Amino acid sequence: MKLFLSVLFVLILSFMKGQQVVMPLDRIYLNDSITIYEGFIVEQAPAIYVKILRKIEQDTLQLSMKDIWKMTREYPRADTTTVTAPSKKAAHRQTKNKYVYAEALGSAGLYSLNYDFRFNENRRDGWGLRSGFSYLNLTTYNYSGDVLNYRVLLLPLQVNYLFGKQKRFFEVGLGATYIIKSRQGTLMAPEYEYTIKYLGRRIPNVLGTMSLGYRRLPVKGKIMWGISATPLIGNSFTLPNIGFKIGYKLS
Amino acid sequence: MKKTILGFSVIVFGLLFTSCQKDDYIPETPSLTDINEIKNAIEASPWIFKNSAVVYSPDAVETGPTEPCKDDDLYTFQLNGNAEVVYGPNNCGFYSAEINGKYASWELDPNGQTLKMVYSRDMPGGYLAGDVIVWRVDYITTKKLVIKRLVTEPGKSYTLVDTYKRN
Repeated sequence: MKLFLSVLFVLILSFMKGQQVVMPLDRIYLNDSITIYEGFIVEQAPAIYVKILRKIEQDTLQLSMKDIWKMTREYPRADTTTVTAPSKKAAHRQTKNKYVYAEALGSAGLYSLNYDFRFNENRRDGWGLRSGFSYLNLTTYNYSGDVLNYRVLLLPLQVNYLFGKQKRFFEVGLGATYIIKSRQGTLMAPEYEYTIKYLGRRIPNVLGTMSLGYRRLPVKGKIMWGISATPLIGNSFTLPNIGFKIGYKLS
Repeated sequence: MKKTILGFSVIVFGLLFTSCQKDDYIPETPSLTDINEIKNAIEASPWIFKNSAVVYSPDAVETGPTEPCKDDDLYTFQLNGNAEVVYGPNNCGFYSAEINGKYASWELDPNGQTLKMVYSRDMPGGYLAGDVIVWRVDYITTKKLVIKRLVTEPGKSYTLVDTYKRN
């Protein structure tokens, strides 16, 4: 009997250990779409803050509600619960703030292909840089009506700042578009006389650019798009312009 | 990140320097300077009106190729001081009347730098009988004549640049 009871006790203990309940954990996703905290929500002041007790890190964090995108209760995930601090490589993999996009009109005048990234690799908002290029064939006339064609390479370069969260951002940018031109013919008059067909302006060497507009960045998908006012500022003129961009998130 | 910023800085400075191009225009034929040569060049044979440019500033210019219908219109500055026109068969269509013959008298100043036109009848371009128009001779060879004048109208002023050519 003693033997039986001992075996039964051992069996019950083993069964209990095998059946150890896996408790769901609270997950808090921040607006930057990268940071996720996992643990137990232990205190909540509605619309003000939430306190989460993190099991693995053994600490308690207070998070402002305005920084929080969503809160869920989920079963622990192996990828996050077992790793206390992501390695540099893993953190780099998480970064998804690099984009390539095409812009119609915009900072290069007619069109451009661009690369855009944030300086802080772990954020989708904040300061960043956009660079791109565009190639055009332009016809110009001098005051006597003589035609001269130019091959033109435009290189927009712009520092920008994104305000916003989740997928909606407001973009403010300032920069310059550098212009490299090559004549396809002989000058029949001083070069300053040649102006672009229909525009009546010379091809500048550099244009100041601005960008004020809306940018929609994907949280889960890959496609980004935006629309901005993109005036071009020349030596003695400002050309009102608008830019439509659509692009792809680089993984 | 530092490498990226450094790379962009290099590109920007590189572009700043490469963007400065020289304006290496040297006219194939220099403009005539002697008054007799200028007079002879003006009178020698009929001119074809090639273009009119309106220059508000170097970055605000209205210009472009002239309508082909004007390529057969011949303008002559005669020895007797008459300016005459002979319109070709291609009528531009927007002039009420293309009448051949004298339309103005012309006169060069002693230095050959200004050309005075006194219109004797209305002409396309807004010139009316009795108008006295003084042009500056900007460039002249036996093949090309470029004349300019400053026009001041209420609220705006601009430079009008007319070009005549001959084959």
